[in-house]
Amino acid sequence: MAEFLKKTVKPSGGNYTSLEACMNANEQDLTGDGWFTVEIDGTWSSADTSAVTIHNYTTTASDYINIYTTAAARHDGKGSLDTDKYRIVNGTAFAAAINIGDNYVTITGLQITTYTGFAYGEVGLNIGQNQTGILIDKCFCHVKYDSNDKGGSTIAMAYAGTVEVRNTIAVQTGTGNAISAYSTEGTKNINNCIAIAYGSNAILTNADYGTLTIRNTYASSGTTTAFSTVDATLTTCASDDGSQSTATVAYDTSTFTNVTAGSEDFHLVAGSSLINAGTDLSATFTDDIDGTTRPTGAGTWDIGADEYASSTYVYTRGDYADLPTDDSDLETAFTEANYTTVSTDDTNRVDQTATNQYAIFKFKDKNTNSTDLMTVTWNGQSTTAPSSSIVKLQIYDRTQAQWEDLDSDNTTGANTDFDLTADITTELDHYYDASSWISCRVWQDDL
Amino acid sequence: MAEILIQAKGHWMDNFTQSQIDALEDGAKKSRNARIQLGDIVVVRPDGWVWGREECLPNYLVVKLPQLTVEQVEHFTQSLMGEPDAQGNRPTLKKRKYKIPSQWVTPYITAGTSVIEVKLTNQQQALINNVIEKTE
Repeated sequence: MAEFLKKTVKPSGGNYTSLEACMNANEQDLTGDGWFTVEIDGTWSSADTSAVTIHNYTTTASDYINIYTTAAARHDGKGSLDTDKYRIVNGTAFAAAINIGDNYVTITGLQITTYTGFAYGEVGLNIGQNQTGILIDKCFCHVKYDSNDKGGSTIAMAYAGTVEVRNTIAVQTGTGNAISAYSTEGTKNINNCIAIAYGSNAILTNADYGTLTIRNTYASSGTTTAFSTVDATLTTCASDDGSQSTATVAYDTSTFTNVTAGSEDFHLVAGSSLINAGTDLSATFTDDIDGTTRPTGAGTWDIGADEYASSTYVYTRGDYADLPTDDSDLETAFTEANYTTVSTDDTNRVDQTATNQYAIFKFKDKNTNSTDLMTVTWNGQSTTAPSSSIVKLQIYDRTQAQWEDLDSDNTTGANTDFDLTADITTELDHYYDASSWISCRVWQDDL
Repeated sequence: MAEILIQAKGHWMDNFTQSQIDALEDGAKKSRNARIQLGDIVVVRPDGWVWGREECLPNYLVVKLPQLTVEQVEHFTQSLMGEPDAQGNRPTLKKRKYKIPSQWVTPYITAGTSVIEVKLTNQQQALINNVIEKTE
């Protein structure tokens, strides 16, 4: 089965300008046709204010609905609202920001905010009763207290069906739960999530008649127990109160980067007790809320949505028929010997050959903050003279999801050292990611 | 100063036979009953909104209401909800609580007019006054 239908949701130039208009217009029976892709792209200066209902599709395991944000529209993984990325901000009475009423729906990388204050039922993300094949990944969901004390859950699921919520942050500043699972009869998995509730239990489950498993998840409640679970199986979870026999880990900046309401950043800090305290779930998934690859092996996974990255550089290289358009690592990682070689400006070099392809080096470096100005310098040489085949230095713009030229050389001869360099002093937020990484690359076209 | 997006086509489940309806599970039956209808107000946006390539016929009509604010019309996108269950969750009875009468919508669809501007205040008020509030 292949992709049957693809629609884009963009602030301009796409098929739709709201997810609701997209989902509403394309309701149909997908059985036997293939999957329906909804790509949310672009820079969003204003929020999508329409609550979304996903229902009246007919889906199967292979004819499913896949909704995701591109890198340009994806939040920064912190847990506070990223206001130039795609976000649903819902203030409709009684409504969930997203209500899933169909089976086989995957949602990846969305920010979802609901303002409550009307009555019970304003939920962030509601997974309808008995829905199966639901995967929520890398989302940030927030229900905000408004003027009333009747907020629903930030993420709600109930009854039968198969649901997994992973790498997701749920924050509740009203009086509802961050994540609730009622009367579960099917299989529910909550993996590597963060649940923060100000006025109720962070994670509430009751009457579990099926299989409810919570792994590698952190919870904190401002007023009562963080975990209030019945019949759920908890594995390597943590909370600020040790409820349900979870590890006690403080909800403060010794654990997370920022816990100030409205400015949360749930990336782990060095020394956080959540680092390497989780269970290896790589048989199920292998990345975190930022898309960073998680390690494998016992004692390597972190608790929570973020996998802490201790290294400050990742260099890779390769030869490619086409220049990669994204920020993914290249095919060959630098060895320790390679790192040593390039750490000193001398005649020792790391080589990359290419025949009728692009020879590419990629350098990902992590800074201690996202505000420092950058100076990028590369020194090297090529057996193919830059005067006959240009060599370019580029940086990855995360806002535009594209590589931008910084410097180039088309004059130097073969086997002769040359420098590529650039100063970056503006729009730094285009280049630093949420964890202060930048990505640069140098390539030569040998086509 | 508001623009509204109105459902301009029927739903693929409109013409289900009784046997097809009977074959649906309870949840699917409720979803079908709640399905979008011709004339339903789907989205409200401020004036000057740059709509997407498919936010037009045959899917939608765009109605520009320069004398009305977003705040005055955004409640038209509410759903018709039922009474809350034990957990406080309300079932969706109709995806949209409000709709524009089909006799107002249909001539524009027939004429292939995707964007309609209702300039005069009294015409806008008449349109709003004729919005149908659905009941269960």
